[in-house]
Amino acid sequence: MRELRRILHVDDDEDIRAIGALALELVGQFELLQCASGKQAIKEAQAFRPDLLLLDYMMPEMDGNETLCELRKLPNLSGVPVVFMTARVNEELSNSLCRNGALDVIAKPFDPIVLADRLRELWRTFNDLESGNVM
Amino acid sequence: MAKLFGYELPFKLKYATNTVPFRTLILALGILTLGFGAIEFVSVPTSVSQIAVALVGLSALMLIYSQRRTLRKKEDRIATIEHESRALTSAAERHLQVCEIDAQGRIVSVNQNFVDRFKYSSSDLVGKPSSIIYSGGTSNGAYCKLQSCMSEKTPWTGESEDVTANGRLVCSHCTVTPIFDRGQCVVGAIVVRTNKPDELNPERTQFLTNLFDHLHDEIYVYDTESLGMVYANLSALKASCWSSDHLGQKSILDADPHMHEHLFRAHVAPLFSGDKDIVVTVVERGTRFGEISTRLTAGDNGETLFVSVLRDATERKKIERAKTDAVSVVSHEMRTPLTSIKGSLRLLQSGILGNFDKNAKQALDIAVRNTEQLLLLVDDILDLEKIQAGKTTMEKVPVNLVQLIDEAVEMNRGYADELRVNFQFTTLLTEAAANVSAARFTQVLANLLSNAAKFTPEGDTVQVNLDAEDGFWKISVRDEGPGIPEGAHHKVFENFAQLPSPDGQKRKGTGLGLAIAQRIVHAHDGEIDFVSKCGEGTTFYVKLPADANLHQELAPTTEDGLTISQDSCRLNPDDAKQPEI
Repeated sequence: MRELRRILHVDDDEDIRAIGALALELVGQFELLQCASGKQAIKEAQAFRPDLLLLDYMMPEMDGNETLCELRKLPNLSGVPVVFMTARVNEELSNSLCRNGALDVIAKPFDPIVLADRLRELWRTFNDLESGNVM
Repeated sequence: MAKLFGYELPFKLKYATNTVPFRTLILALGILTLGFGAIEFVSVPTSVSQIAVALVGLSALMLIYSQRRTLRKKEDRIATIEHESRALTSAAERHLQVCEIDAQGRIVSVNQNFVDRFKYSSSDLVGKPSSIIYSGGTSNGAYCKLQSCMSEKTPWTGESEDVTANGRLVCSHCTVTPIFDRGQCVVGAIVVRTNKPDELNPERTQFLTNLFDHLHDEIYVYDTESLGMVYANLSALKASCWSSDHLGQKSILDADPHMHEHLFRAHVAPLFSGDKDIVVTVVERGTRFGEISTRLTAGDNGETLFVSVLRDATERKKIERAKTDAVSVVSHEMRTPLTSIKGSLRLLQSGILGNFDKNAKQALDIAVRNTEQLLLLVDDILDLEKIQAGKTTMEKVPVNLVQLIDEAVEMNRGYADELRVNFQFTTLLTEAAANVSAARFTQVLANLLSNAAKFTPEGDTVQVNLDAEDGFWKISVRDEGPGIPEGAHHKVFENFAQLPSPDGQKRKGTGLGLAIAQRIVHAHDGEIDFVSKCGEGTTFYVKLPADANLHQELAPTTEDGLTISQDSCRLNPDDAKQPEI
């Protein structure tokens, strides 16, 4: 199983991006590309070739779902797993996003100390599902 | 021979004088009183004394005749009075509501009209105080008049506001006449009433009609059986595009094409079962909202009618929605900066960004704790708003409560450890199926467990039990805390309830946990309550309806899924009993 290394993190809030950077780069030791909007992510994702997308759901202009739809249209990004983050805790929304292929929906505020571990766990689950190793 | 009343006269009357006037007078009197047998008088002369006796007899006969005529006249008069009296009684029976009461004001008898109008049976009334038919009982003005009328021995006529057996208020013209015995003592009274229908007061009727027509609210009055319309005010007529001329041909179902009779009947069923006095629903009319309140009332003839009042609720709904949205937005907007604050603090606290001295670390811990508290408050406010707005998902599925409680205990054990208290879950049951939203019920248990942990002294144990009781599952959470002062019991489930503690210590909490728990339990048709005594701890318990049929529908559980926590124990599983449902 390939290791999780490159994460594309999209969030319109600068401070949360800063926390995310510490949580993922410093604590998680990932390669990280952070974007402030869906549009920026669509421009830069292709070149970065992420292993996993970490998208804020509530964003102005393009929300997380719309951003994902556009990213999926890009070559090599159609099968990249996605994890959403949202401050609007909503069971219905979480279920809906998971039904549409999201690995998980992480509620804000998230714990920056355990975020990296959580993403690695989800990555393993994703790979198990892909390879059919799930009991 | 002349006879009088069958007696032969002892002598033949002969006149003694030959004067013509005297002879003529005697002859006339004789013929008048004795018949033509007296003609013999004229031919036989007799003595003066005999003539005198004859005259006395004649006078007596004339007196008897006169008495007989007077008597006959009196008999005729009595017969006439008897007929008049019978006619009067018959008319009173037909027209008046008559009630006879004794000197103590108890009802002695009532006529059929009275029974018909007041909806009591005669046996229900006889022997009862007459005050029961007066609106307001003994404080009713007409009843007070009745009392003074009997004490002052004078009749009274006036108006009386009365109440029928089914609670309907009626207005009567009323006359009270005391009944006296031979000694002129009052032994009772006759109270007669006549209806005081509105048509007798057309001005008042017109006033009320105008009043109802000027109301912005729509008023519909209709029959409970046929749902046929009886009355609609102007607003209702306009909204339904009806003409008052054809109202009698309309049904309430015609007022809203989306209304189905079976749904309507189900909606109003609690009015008939006595569970509710009024049922309320909100309907959408295009872009507007209307709140309909429906209750039962009695018609003029005692028939049962529905009264529905539709009030425009558009503005209120807008305000409610704006309030909910505002709370939701504010809460959401607070979560975003809190994410940065909590994230930064957690990174600092972890030591990844460097170490702090003792004082800095203490300040950091305070910041972390209070951030957590603020987040809990935001979450609770959001939860409460969502539950109150009906936006919370309550997808109920058959759940094994034994497993659910066990998992909730495990989930909250970390919090108990922080406070250095223990959780112990005990039950004789292996399976307890209930129809619940697992997520929401876990929230209820979490609130009860964290609440109990907060109030339990260090080293003590919070006891959690699950039992079967009268067709319900009863979950109890008992703490060893100081108890809730009796004066604060009514506040326990209120929003932002911060209860005083007998030990004077203040426990941290949002004050919303139990309010949220109560709303969730009620949404599951369950009950939540507590027993508490100062110095002896508090036990909160939740009762949920048990359904034997659900046992077969329970999702299969694995060995792991039913693992009992280290501190939990199940006593003699072989003895486990199921509730008697």
